[in-house]
Amino acid sequence: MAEAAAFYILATLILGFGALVITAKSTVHSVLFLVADFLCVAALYVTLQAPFLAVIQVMVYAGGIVVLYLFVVMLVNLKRPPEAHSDPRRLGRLGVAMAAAVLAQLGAIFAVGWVKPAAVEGTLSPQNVEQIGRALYADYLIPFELASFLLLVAMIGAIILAKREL
Amino acid sequence: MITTTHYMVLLNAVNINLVAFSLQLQNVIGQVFAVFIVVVAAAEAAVGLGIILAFYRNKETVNIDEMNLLRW
Repeated sequence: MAEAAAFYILATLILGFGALVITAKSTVHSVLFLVADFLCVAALYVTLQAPFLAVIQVMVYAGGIVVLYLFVVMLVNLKRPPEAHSDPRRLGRLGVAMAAAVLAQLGAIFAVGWVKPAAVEGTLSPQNVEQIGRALYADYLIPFELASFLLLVAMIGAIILAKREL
Repeated sequence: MITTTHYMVLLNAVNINLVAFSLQLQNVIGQVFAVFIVVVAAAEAAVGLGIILAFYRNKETVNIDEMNLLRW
């Protein structure tokens, strides 16, 4: 009961902040709503028994990425209002059709009604960090190393893009 | 500029889905995959913001509607 209440409160907050992120006029407001959204998602991870991801969410997203965004917002002059123009190549009808398709799929799901999946034998241990670490370093060692390589390439790429002249 | 903040919300939605399935199926692989998505999101944010900075130096705008260099 308490779990369900927590889920619905957090889901409402996440959806509300998400809507504010994409509708905010000012970029700074958008980024601040993004922080609130990330923190709510981190709380949801805690209720989903993923404390390691909750910590990662707060540290990487709310701590790192948002600071990056704020730096760029400060570097870039956003005062100039965007030129008002309507692009005739925007495919409005296609967008409406795709939204209708998604809505139809959702309607079909609700019409059929969901089947509660059978309970699976629990292998999710309370030692969340240990379990993730074992999976990362034993079964997923090569993807893990590739991820570190991706971060290195992204770092070099960002430096080359942002530096005026090398 | 605001557009780039949207991707973070999208990736978060995917992560919530993965973690929820991880709990339902009692399998930690979903959370491992979510960790990789966080890595990709961080890399994408760094490179994406670098591109925005480089574009702003050249064109004095970050409005996505005015980014039409590749249009023919």
